[in-house]
Amino acid sequence: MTIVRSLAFALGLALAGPAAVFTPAFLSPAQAAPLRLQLTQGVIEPMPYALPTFIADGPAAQQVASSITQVVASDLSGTGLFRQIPASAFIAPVTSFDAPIRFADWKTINAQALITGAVSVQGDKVVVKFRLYDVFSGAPLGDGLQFAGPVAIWRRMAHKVADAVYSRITGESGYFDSRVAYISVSGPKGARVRRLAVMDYDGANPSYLTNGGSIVLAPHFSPDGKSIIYVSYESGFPHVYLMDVATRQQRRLDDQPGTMTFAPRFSPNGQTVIYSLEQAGNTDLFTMNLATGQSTRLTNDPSIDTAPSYSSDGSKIVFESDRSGQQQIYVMPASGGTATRISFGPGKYATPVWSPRGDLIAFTKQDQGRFYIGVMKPDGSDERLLTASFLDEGPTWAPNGRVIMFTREAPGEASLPQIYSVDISGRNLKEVSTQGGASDPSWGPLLP
Amino acid sequence: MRMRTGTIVSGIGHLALILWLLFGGLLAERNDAPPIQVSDVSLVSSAQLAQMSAAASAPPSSKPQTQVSLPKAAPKVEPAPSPSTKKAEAPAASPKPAPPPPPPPAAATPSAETNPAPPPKASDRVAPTPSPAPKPDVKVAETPQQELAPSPDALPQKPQKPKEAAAPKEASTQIVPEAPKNATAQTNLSTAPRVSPRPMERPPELQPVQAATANTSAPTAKPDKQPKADATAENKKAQTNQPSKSTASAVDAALAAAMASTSGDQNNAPTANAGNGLSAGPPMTSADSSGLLAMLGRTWIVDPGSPSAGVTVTVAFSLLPTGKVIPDSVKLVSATGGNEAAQRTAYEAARRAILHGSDLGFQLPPAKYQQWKEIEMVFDPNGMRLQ
Repeated sequence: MTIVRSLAFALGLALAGPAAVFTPAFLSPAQAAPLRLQLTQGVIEPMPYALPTFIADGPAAQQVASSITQVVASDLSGTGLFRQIPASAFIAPVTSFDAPIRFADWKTINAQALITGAVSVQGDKVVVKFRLYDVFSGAPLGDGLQFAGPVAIWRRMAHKVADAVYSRITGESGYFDSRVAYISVSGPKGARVRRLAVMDYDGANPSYLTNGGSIVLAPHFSPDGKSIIYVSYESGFPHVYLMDVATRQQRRLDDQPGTMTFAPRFSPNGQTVIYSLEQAGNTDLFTMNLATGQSTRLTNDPSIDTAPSYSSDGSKIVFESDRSGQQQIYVMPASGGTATRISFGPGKYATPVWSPRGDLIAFTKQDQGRFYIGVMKPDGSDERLLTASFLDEGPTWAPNGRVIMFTREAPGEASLPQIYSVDISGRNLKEVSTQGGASDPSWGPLLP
Repeated sequence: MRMRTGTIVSGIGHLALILWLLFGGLLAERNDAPPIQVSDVSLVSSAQLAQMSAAASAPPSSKPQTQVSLPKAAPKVEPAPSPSTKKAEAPAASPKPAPPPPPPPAAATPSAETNPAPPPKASDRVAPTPSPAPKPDVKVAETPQQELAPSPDALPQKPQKPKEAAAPKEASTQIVPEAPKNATAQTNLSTAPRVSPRPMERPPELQPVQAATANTSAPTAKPDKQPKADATAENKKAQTNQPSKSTASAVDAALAAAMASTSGDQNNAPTANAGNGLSAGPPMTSADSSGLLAMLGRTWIVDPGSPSAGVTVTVAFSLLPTGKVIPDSVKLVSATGGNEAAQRTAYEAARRAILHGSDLGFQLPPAKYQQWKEIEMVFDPNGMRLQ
């Protein structure tokens, strides 16, 4: 019996040993790892922010301060990602740029971001400075910034402030301080007057580069924003022209008789232009070195190859072609070669444009009598249609690849085309305010 | 031959030794020796007798309060032991003595520690000792004696009754009356009122554990981690009040009641205070965390078109017993996907969600504070991301 107990005890120890080792892990829940939870659904809504009117350092700055504040608010709220809290909800006014922030007051009105600023005017010079705060963290988001320049460009300084705020909160570069080249359209449908024009991204400060004496189409900014390449019927036939925006001097790029050139676009480095050339009834893609004027054929196909666009890294080209029987989108190496079709949905696909981010291709789609603006991945997958109307066409990307502008035209003799913008999520569709009709937008780079 | 002889002798010797060890009872003694069993039994023999008797009286102990009304018996014991019980009783009967009673409970609580069981146990111990060797118990109650003195009750009969009643009183006195009385303490402990209703959900046996955990953890965690939070002030108040034992005990009792609201058993609170609080209570359920997730789901703003929508971040943060997040505790644990800017943006959005949600108030079971005081939240927006 004793032996049995001894053996049992020994066996018990052998079994209890390991148990004793592991037991603490089970008996000490108080020291267990943090509670781990997963959240996969948030809300898609604009972030509320407070933007008290920038403080004017002196009466001379009063008007400018107010105007700059309005533009900053318009920029941010116009993205659809931010929602301005009305000043009437503020608990206490901001009376000094350097005064300590009472975050509790801003939390109370549910402001997640707070922007304070001050404006001073000295002669012809205006200085704008601002600070951005994360209200719930009770800390600034980045350092304060200051912009200075002629009073005449106060709008640009306001855009700069908005870009900085946008960038700090979203992690992406902004697009407010940029310009758009477009075609100003006026007159009845049978006798349109089309002028090459440039405006701020929000439609302000329009400037006309041609007088409307000849039809102009499809303008595109150079990567540095200093030049515009476009199509003009000045000679009676469509040809590609290049204009210096500052001097407004223009020159025709091709001089090959008996041909038509159109659909031009710059390469990412700005040294090459790719375009379509029609000769003897056949349209193919060509590139031209702007420095030497030498052209190179990229495609040689009996179909119509047009609307080329470089990828952001310049290694590929996306274009439309009817080689399959109807307009579809193809991708091929920038130096030419085998083209791969990437659009296979119903309807026709046209005017593809590669995103600056490189992750998407925007396009125009026509199906069953309606037009759509959509995006798809470079391999043709994940096609999403963002807009639909009687006529939507000619998408162009914002510098940060977040917004698309395009032309929309309603049916009817009296209707004029207008420029619209839409977020790549399909939200925040809105018309860009222009003087008269406008079409063929081309979003330029972010200004320095 | 010598070698063989030596070997044989050695073998026989070893064999004899082994046999002696096996049959001589040496090993058996060692094996049976496990101090745990032996010691327990031996100790139980003397002390447990009293406990046994106490256990016998234990059932009635669940009705301590009613017994408390037996202060009359205490007077009889006037000389020594009864005073302690009287103290507890006296306060209950006469509101004035109320302040002094708190201290005795504290003394009583430690004794209760040995008996993890709820209030009844505390009373049990007190009960057995009184009749034969109550003196030690009397010592514990010494401090309050003076107060007891004033209560010149009649000449009750059985000293045992008073003792039994005394034990329950102390426990009950601390928890029941003081918590509500100390409005200040309770108001500071904002969780108290909210918590009380919810506790009912917990299984009865686990409740005491929860209470203990919550009680002990609450005060401990507060001073350590809340220096900057609003609740810090509250905690500090509670701590600074400790010097005045009555207030301190009241705060503890209120806190215990608040944190152990689940149990609903007031007598458990003091016992819990005395415990080491290693237990974390029952496991968190989906329902327990649903309130937190729902709130964060409303405050987490996702931009599906942003590169940050492809970033999954894990953010750690600490909470106070009140459910408020300690701002400085919010930290990025890990981030996957996207570039550095996108990860920073994703983290900041998550941080805003946490702090905003904290302001609005998280719904979490107070009794399980030990389990949710440290949280790692994974914010995964991939399901909302644009494809």
